[in-house]
Amino acid sequence: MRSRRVRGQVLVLAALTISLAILSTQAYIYRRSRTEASADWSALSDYVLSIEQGSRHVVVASLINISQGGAASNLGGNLDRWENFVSGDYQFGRCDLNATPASQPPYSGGVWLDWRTDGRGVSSAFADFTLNISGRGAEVDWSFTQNITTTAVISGSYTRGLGNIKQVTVLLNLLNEGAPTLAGRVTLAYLSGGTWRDPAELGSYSRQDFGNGTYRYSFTDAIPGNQVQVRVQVYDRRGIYVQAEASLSEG
Amino acid sequence: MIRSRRGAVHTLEAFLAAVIIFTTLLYSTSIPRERDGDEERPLEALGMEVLLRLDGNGTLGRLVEERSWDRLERCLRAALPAGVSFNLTVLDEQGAPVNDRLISNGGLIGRTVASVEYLLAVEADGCPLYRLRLQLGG
Repeated sequence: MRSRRVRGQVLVLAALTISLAILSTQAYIYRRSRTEASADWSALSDYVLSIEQGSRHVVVASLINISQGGAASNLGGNLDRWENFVSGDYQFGRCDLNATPASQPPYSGGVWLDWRTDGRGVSSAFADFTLNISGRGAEVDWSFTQNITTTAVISGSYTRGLGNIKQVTVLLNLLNEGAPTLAGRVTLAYLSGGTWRDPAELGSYSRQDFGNGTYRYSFTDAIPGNQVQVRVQVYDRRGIYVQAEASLSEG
Repeated sequence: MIRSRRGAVHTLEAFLAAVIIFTTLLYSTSIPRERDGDEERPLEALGMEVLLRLDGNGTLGRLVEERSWDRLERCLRAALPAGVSFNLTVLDEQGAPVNDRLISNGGLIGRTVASVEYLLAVEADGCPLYRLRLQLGG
Protein backbone atom coordinates (compact mmCIF):
# COMPACT_ATOMS: atom_id res chain seq x y z
CA MET A 1 0.00 0.00 0.00
CA ARG A 2 2.73 2.42 1.05
CA SER A 3 4.92 1.31 -1.88
CA ARG A 4 2.09 2.13 -4.35
CA ARG A 5 1.65 5.60 -2.84
CA VAL A 6 5.36 6.32 -3.17
CA ARG A 7 5.34 5.06 -6.76
CA GLY A 8 2.42 7.40 -7.50
CA GLN A 9 4.32 10.33 -5.97
CA VAL A 10 7.33 9.55 -8.14
CA LEU A 11 5.17 9.49 -11.24
CA VAL A 12 3.44 12.78 -10.36
CA LEU A 13 6.77 14.49 -9.67
CA ALA A 14 8.32 13.09 -12.86
CA ALA A 15 5.34 14.32 -14.90
CA LEU A 16 5.60 17.73 -13.26
CA THR A 17 9.32 17.96 -13.98
CA ILE A 18 8.90 16.99 -17.62
CA SER A 19 6.00 19.42 -18.19
CA LEU A 20 7.97 22.21 -16.49
CA ALA A 21 10.98 21.52 -18.71
CA ILE A 22 8.80 21.50 -21.86
CA LEU A 23 7.04 24.73 -20.84
CA SER A 24 10.34 26.49 -20.04
CA THR A 25 11.78 25.45 -23.41
CA GLN A 26 8.68 26.70 -25.23
CA ALA A 27 8.69 30.00 -23.35
CA TYR A 28 12.39 30.49 -24.10
CA ILE A 29 11.95 29.74 -27.83
CA TYR A 30 8.91 32.03 -28.00
CA ARG A 31 10.79 34.90 -26.36
CA ARG A 32 13.81 34.47 -28.62
CA SER A 33 11.72 34.35 -31.79
CA ARG A 34 9.69 37.39 -30.72
CA THR A 35 12.84 39.47 -30.14
CA GLU A 36 14.36 38.46 -33.48
CA ALA A 37 11.16 39.14 -35.40
CA SER A 38 10.65 42.58 -33.84
CA ALA A 39 14.30 43.52 -34.49
CA ASP A 40 14.01 42.56 -38.19
CA TRP A 41 10.71 44.39 -38.54
CA SER A 42 12.13 47.48 -36.84
CA ALA A 43 15.14 47.55 -39.19
CA LEU A 44 12.92 47.10 -42.26
CA SER A 45 10.42 49.78 -41.24
CA ASP A 46 13.29 52.18 -40.49
CA TYR A 47 14.71 51.44 -43.95
CA VAL A 48 11.33 52.19 -45.60
CA LEU A 49 11.10 55.41 -43.57
CA SER A 50 14.57 56.43 -44.74
CA ILE A 51 13.56 55.94 -48.38
CA GLU A 52 10.39 57.98 -47.82
CA GLN A 53 12.39 60.73 -46.11
CA GLY A 54 14.98 60.71 -48.91
CA SER A 55 12.19 60.98 -51.51
CA ARG A 56 10.90 64.06 -49.71
CA HIS A 57 14.39 65.62 -49.76
CA VAL A 58 14.62 64.97 -53.52
CA VAL A 59 11.30 66.73 -54.19
CA VAL A 60 12.29 69.68 -51.95
CA ALA A 61 15.73 69.98 -53.60
CA SER A 62 14.10 69.95 -57.04
CA LEU A 63 11.58 72.63 -56.09
CA ILE A 64 14.36 74.83 -54.66
CA ASN A 65 16.10 74.65 -58.03
CA ILE A 66 12.97 75.08 -60.19
CA SER A 67 11.50 77.96 -58.15
CA GLN A 68 14.79 79.82 -58.53
CA GLY A 69 14.73 79.56 -62.32
CA GLY A 70 15.81 75.96 -62.98
CA ALA A 71 14.14 73.83 -65.65
CA ALA A 72 10.88 72.11 -64.64
CA SER A 73 12.31 68.85 -66.02
CA ASN A 74 14.84 68.81 -63.15
CA LEU A 75 12.22 67.18 -60.90
CA GLY A 76 11.88 64.18 -63.25
CA GLY A 77 15.67 64.00 -63.67
CA ASN A 78 16.34 64.04 -59.93
CA LEU A 79 13.61 61.44 -59.30
CA ASP A 80 15.18 59.15 -61.94
CA ARG A 81 18.59 59.49 -60.23
CA TRP A 82 17.03 58.72 -56.84
CA GLU A 83 15.19 55.67 -58.26
CA ASN A 84 18.44 54.25 -59.67
CA PHE A 85 20.33 55.04 -56.47
CA VAL A 86 17.77 53.22 -54.31
CA SER A 87 17.50 50.27 -56.71
CA GLY A 88 21.24 49.70 -56.36
CA ASP A 89 20.79 49.03 -52.66
CA TYR A 90 20.23 45.37 -51.75
CA GLN A 91 20.20 45.63 -47.97
CA PHE A 92 16.90 43.73 -47.72
CA GLY A 93 16.88 42.03 -51.10
CA ARG A 94 15.48 43.45 -54.33
CA CYS A 95 14.39 47.07 -53.94
CA ASP A 96 12.36 48.91 -56.59
CA LEU A 97 11.29 52.52 -56.24
CA ASN A 98 9.05 54.10 -58.86
CA ALA A 99 8.40 57.83 -58.83
CA THR A 100 5.78 59.53 -60.96
CA PRO A 101 5.56 63.34 -61.07
CA ALA A 102 1.94 64.50 -60.81
CA SER A 103 0.33 65.35 -64.15
CA GLN A 104 -3.21 66.30 -63.11
CA PRO A 105 -3.96 70.08 -63.30
CA PRO A 106 -2.67 72.44 -62.02
CA TYR A 107 0.52 70.33 -62.02
CA SER A 108 2.61 69.80 -65.11
CA GLY A 109 5.57 67.48 -64.86
CA GLY A 110 4.98 67.44 -61.08
CA VAL A 111 5.49 71.22 -60.77
CA TRP A 112 3.06 74.07 -60.17
CA LEU A 113 4.37 77.64 -60.02
CA ASP A 114 1.59 80.21 -59.74
CA TRP A 115 2.83 83.66 -58.76
CA ARG A 116 -0.34 85.64 -59.15
CA THR A 117 -1.22 89.33 -58.88
CA ASP A 118 -4.27 88.77 -56.67
CA GLY A 119 -2.23 88.44 -53.47
CA ARG A 120 -1.42 84.72 -53.59
CA GLY A 121 1.71 82.96 -54.83
CA VAL A 122 2.30 79.20 -54.89
CA SER A 123 5.42 77.13 -55.57
CA SER A 124 4.66 73.42 -55.44
CA ALA A 125 5.99 70.01 -56.49
CA PHE A 126 4.07 66.73 -56.24
CA ALA A 127 5.09 63.14 -56.95
CA ASP A 128 3.66 59.66 -56.31
CA PHE A 129 5.98 56.87 -55.16
CA THR A 130 5.70 53.10 -54.95
CA LEU A 131 8.33 51.08 -53.12
CA ASN A 132 8.63 47.31 -53.52
CA ILE A 133 11.11 45.30 -51.47
CA SER A 134 11.29 41.53 -51.89
CA GLY A 135 13.62 38.74 -50.90
CA ARG A 136 15.64 37.86 -47.77
CA GLY A 137 12.40 37.36 -45.82
CA ALA A 138 11.15 40.88 -46.50
CA GLU A 139 8.04 41.75 -48.49
CA VAL A 140 7.08 45.41 -48.70
CA ASP A 141 4.61 47.05 -51.06
CA TRP A 142 4.37 50.68 -50.01
CA SER A 143 2.80 53.68 -51.75
CA PHE A 144 3.22 57.26 -50.66
CA THR A 145 3.06 60.79 -52.05
CA GLN A 146 5.24 63.83 -51.52
CA ASN A 147 3.57 67.19 -51.87
CA ILE A 148 5.84 70.14 -51.15
CA THR A 149 4.06 73.50 -51.31
CA THR A 150 5.15 76.98 -50.27
CA THR A 151 2.41 79.61 -50.33
CA ALA A 152 2.72 83.36 -49.80
CA VAL A 153 -0.44 85.39 -49.17
CA ILE A 154 -0.35 89.18 -49.03
CA SER A 155 -3.08 91.62 -48.11
CA GLY A 156 -3.29 95.16 -46.79
CA SER A 157 -4.57 98.67 -47.35
CA TYR A 158 -3.47 102.30 -47.21
CA THR A 159 -4.66 105.51 -45.58
CA ARG A 160 -4.44 108.71 -47.60
CA GLY A 161 -2.57 111.78 -46.39
CA LEU A 162 -1.98 115.11 -48.09
CA GLY A 163 -1.85 114.94 -51.90
CA ASN A 164 -0.44 111.60 -52.99
CA ILE A 165 0.95 110.72 -49.59
CA LYS A 166 -0.17 107.25 -48.57
CA GLN A 167 0.51 105.25 -45.43
CA VAL A 168 0.64 101.63 -46.60
CA THR A 169 0.23 98.54 -44.44
CA VAL A 170 1.05 95.07 -45.88
CA LEU A 171 0.44 91.71 -44.21
CA LEU A 172 2.33 88.63 -45.36
CA ASN A 173 1.40 85.07 -44.41
CA LEU A 174 3.79 82.28 -45.35
CA LEU A 175 2.72 78.63 -45.41
CA ASN A 176 4.54 75.32 -45.90
CA GLU A 177 2.17 72.50 -46.88
CA GLY A 178 -0.71 74.64 -45.63
CA ALA A 179 0.78 75.27 -42.17
CA PRO A 180 2.26 78.61 -41.06
CA THR A 181 6.04 78.76 -41.28
CA LEU A 182 8.85 81.23 -40.80
CA ALA A 183 10.41 82.98 -43.77
CA GLY A 184 14.09 82.82 -44.63
CA ARG A 185 14.35 86.05 -46.61
CA VAL A 186 11.62 88.52 -47.65
CA THR A 187 11.90 91.40 -50.12
CA LEU A 188 9.00 93.83 -50.28
CA ALA A 189 8.56 96.28 -53.15
CA TYR A 190 5.91 98.82 -54.21
CA LEU A 191 5.21 100.28 -57.62
CA SER A 192 5.60 104.03 -57.92
CA GLY A 193 5.95 105.93 -61.18
CA GLY A 194 6.30 102.65 -63.12
CA THR A 195 9.29 101.47 -61.05
CA TRP A 196 9.48 98.90 -58.27
CA ARG A 197 10.87 100.61 -55.18
CA ASP A 198 12.28 99.26 -51.93
CA PRO A 199 10.28 100.61 -48.94
CA ALA A 200 13.17 99.69 -46.59
CA GLU A 201 14.96 102.78 -47.91
CA LEU A 202 12.23 105.00 -46.49
CA GLY A 203 12.55 106.49 -43.02
CA SER A 204 8.96 105.57 -42.24
CA TYR A 205 9.51 101.86 -42.96
CA SER A 206 8.78 99.36 -40.18
CA ARG A 207 8.63 95.56 -40.09
CA GLN A 208 6.97 93.37 -37.49
CA ASP A 209 7.55 89.62 -37.19
CA PHE A 210 4.79 87.90 -35.22
CA GLY A 211 6.85 84.68 -35.01
CA ASN A 212 4.11 82.54 -36.52
CA GLY A 213 4.67 83.08 -40.23
CA THR A 214 2.85 86.42 -40.23
CA TYR A 215 4.76 89.62 -41.03
CA ARG A 216 3.47 93.18 -41.01
CA TYR A 217 5.10 95.98 -43.03
CA SER A 218 4.29 99.66 -42.91
CA PHE A 219 5.66 102.65 -44.85
CA THR A 220 4.63 106.10 -46.05
CA ASP A 221 5.43 107.66 -49.42
CA ALA A 222 3.97 109.78 -52.19
CA ILE A 223 2.40 107.24 -54.54
CA PRO A 224 0.16 108.45 -57.36
CA GLY A 225 -3.13 106.68 -58.17
CA ASN A 226 -6.01 105.13 -56.28
CA GLN A 227 -4.31 101.80 -55.72
CA VAL A 228 -0.91 100.75 -54.43
CA GLN A 229 0.73 97.81 -56.17
CA VAL A 230 2.94 95.75 -53.80
CA ARG A 231 5.08 92.65 -54.39
CA VAL A 232 6.77 90.21 -52.01
CA GLN A 233 9.60 87.89 -52.99
CA VAL A 234 10.08 85.22 -50.34
CA TYR A 235 12.53 82.38 -49.72
CA ASP A 236 11.24 79.98 -47.10
CA ARG A 237 13.66 78.32 -44.67
CA ARG A 238 14.16 75.40 -47.10
CA GLY A 239 15.24 77.83 -49.83
CA ILE A 240 12.07 77.55 -51.96
CA TYR A 241 11.25 80.82 -53.72
CA VAL A 242 7.74 82.22 -54.12
CA GLN A 243 6.41 85.64 -55.02
CA ALA A 244 3.03 87.33 -54.94
CA GLU A 245 1.61 90.70 -55.96
CA ALA A 246 -1.45 92.58 -54.78
CA SER A 247 -3.23 95.87 -55.45
CA LEU A 248 -4.08 97.62 -52.21
CA SER A 249 -7.04 99.93 -51.87
CA GLU A 250 -7.81 102.67 -49.40
CA GLY A 251 -9.19 101.14 -46.25
CA MET B 1 13.13 -0.81 -1.14
CA ILE B 2 10.67 1.77 0.20
CA ARG B 3 13.56 3.79 1.59
CA SER B 4 15.31 3.90 -1.76
CA ARG B 5 12.08 5.07 -3.46
CA ARG B 6 11.65 7.70 -0.77
CA GLY B 7 15.17 8.82 -1.60
CA ALA B 8 14.27 9.05 -5.27
CA VAL B 9 11.22 11.16 -4.43
CA HIS B 10 13.36 13.49 -2.33
CA THR B 11 15.88 13.74 -5.15
CA LEU B 12 13.13 14.62 -7.61
CA GLU B 13 11.68 17.14 -5.17
CA ALA B 14 15.08 18.77 -4.77
CA PHE B 15 15.57 18.80 -8.54
CA LEU B 16 12.15 20.35 -9.06
CA ALA B 17 12.83 23.02 -6.45
CA ALA B 18 16.18 23.78 -8.09
CA VAL B 19 14.49 24.12 -11.51
CA ILE B 20 11.86 26.50 -10.10
CA ILE B 21 14.48 28.63 -8.34
CA PHE B 22 16.71 28.67 -11.43
CA THR B 23 13.81 29.62 -13.74
CA THR B 24 12.72 32.41 -11.38
CA LEU B 25 16.26 33.77 -11.16
CA LEU B 26 16.66 33.61 -14.94
CA TYR B 27 13.40 35.45 -15.48
CA SER B 28 14.06 38.10 -12.84
CA THR B 29 17.50 38.95 -14.26
CA SER B 30 16.00 39.46 -17.72
CA ILE B 31 13.34 41.97 -16.56
CA PRO B 32 15.56 45.07 -16.23
CA ARG B 33 17.36 44.19 -19.48
CA GLU B 34 14.09 44.22 -21.39
CA ARG B 35 13.19 47.62 -20.01
CA ASP B 36 16.47 49.11 -21.18
CA GLY B 37 15.68 49.68 -24.86
CA ASP B 38 19.23 50.56 -25.94
CA GLU B 39 20.72 47.31 -24.63
CA GLU B 40 18.08 45.11 -26.23
CA ARG B 41 18.06 47.00 -29.53
CA PRO B 42 20.40 45.57 -32.14
CA LEU B 43 23.23 47.85 -33.26
CA GLU B 44 21.85 48.01 -36.84
CA ALA B 45 18.49 49.36 -35.63
CA LEU B 46 20.23 51.80 -33.29
CA GLY B 47 22.44 53.16 -36.09
CA MET B 48 19.53 53.45 -38.51
CA GLU B 49 17.40 55.31 -35.96
CA VAL B 50 20.19 57.78 -35.19
CA LEU B 51 20.77 58.52 -38.89
CA LEU B 52 17.01 58.83 -39.51
CA ARG B 53 16.69 61.28 -36.63
CA LEU B 54 19.61 63.41 -37.83
CA ASP B 55 18.28 63.36 -41.40
CA GLY B 56 14.72 64.20 -40.32
CA ASN B 57 15.56 67.78 -39.39
CA GLY B 58 18.00 68.24 -42.28
CA THR B 59 21.11 68.26 -40.06
CA LEU B 60 22.71 65.21 -41.66
CA GLY B 61 22.38 66.52 -45.22
CA ARG B 62 23.61 69.99 -44.28
CA LEU B 63 26.70 68.70 -42.45
CA VAL B 64 27.63 66.31 -45.26
CA GLU B 65 27.12 69.00 -47.91
CA GLU B 66 29.23 71.47 -45.88
CA ARG B 67 31.87 68.76 -45.31
CA SER B 68 31.66 69.53 -41.57
CA TRP B 69 33.12 66.21 -40.45
CA ASP B 70 33.98 67.47 -36.94
CA ARG B 71 30.42 68.55 -36.28
CA LEU B 72 29.04 65.36 -37.79
CA GLU B 73 31.29 63.31 -35.48
CA ARG B 74 30.12 65.34 -32.48
CA CYS B 75 26.47 64.78 -33.46
CA LEU B 76 27.02 61.01 -33.67
CA ARG B 77 28.91 60.98 -30.35
CA ALA B 78 25.94 62.76 -28.74
CA ALA B 79 23.27 60.62 -30.40
CA LEU B 80 24.79 57.17 -29.82
CA PRO B 81 25.00 55.55 -26.36
CA ALA B 82 28.35 55.91 -24.57
CA GLY B 83 29.26 52.22 -24.90
CA VAL B 84 28.88 52.14 -28.68
CA SER B 85 31.87 52.81 -30.92
CA PHE B 86 31.38 54.01 -34.50
CA ASN B 87 33.12 54.65 -37.78
CA LEU B 88 31.32 56.57 -40.56
CA THR B 89 32.26 56.62 -44.24
CA VAL B 90 30.51 58.98 -46.66
CA LEU B 91 30.41 57.86 -50.31
CA ASP B 92 29.17 59.95 -53.21
CA GLU B 93 26.67 58.86 -55.89
CA GLN B 94 29.42 57.00 -57.79
CA GLY B 95 30.66 55.26 -54.65
CA ALA B 96 33.84 57.31 -54.12
CA PRO B 97 34.72 58.24 -50.51
CA VAL B 98 34.00 61.88 -49.69
CA ASN B 99 35.21 62.30 -46.11
CA ASP B 100 38.92 63.15 -46.11
CA ARG B 101 39.28 62.41 -42.42
CA LEU B 102 38.14 59.66 -40.09
CA ILE B 103 34.67 60.16 -38.58
CA SER B 104 34.97 57.92 -35.55
CA ASN B 105 35.11 57.86 -31.75
CA GLY B 106 38.27 55.79 -31.68
CA GLY B 107 37.82 52.68 -33.80
CA LEU B 108 35.42 49.78 -33.50
CA ILE B 109 35.48 48.24 -30.04
CA GLY B 110 33.10 45.63 -28.65
CA ARG B 111 31.98 42.03 -28.90
CA THR B 112 29.49 42.77 -31.68
CA VAL B 113 30.15 44.75 -34.85
CA ALA B 114 27.36 45.84 -37.21
CA SER B 115 27.17 47.88 -40.40
CA VAL B 116 24.35 50.14 -41.57
CA GLU B 117 24.00 51.76 -45.00
CA TYR B 118 21.92 54.91 -45.28
CA LEU B 119 20.89 56.58 -48.55
CA LEU B 120 20.94 60.34 -48.22
CA ALA B 121 19.44 62.98 -50.51
CA VAL B 122 20.32 66.56 -49.66
CA GLU B 123 17.94 69.51 -49.99
CA ALA B 124 20.44 71.58 -51.93
CA ASP B 125 20.86 72.79 -55.48
CA GLY B 126 21.65 69.84 -57.75
CA CYS B 127 20.15 67.37 -55.25
CA PRO B 128 23.39 65.59 -54.28
CA LEU B 129 23.03 61.92 -53.27
CA TYR B 130 25.27 60.12 -50.78
CA ARG B 131 25.61 56.64 -49.32
CA LEU B 132 26.53 56.66 -45.62
CA ARG B 133 28.20 53.54 -44.23
CA LEU B 134 28.01 53.51 -40.45
CA GLN B 135 29.91 50.73 -38.67
CA LEU B 136 29.06 50.19 -35.03
CA GLY B 137 30.71 48.21 -32.25
CA GLY B 138 29.25 47.47 -28.87
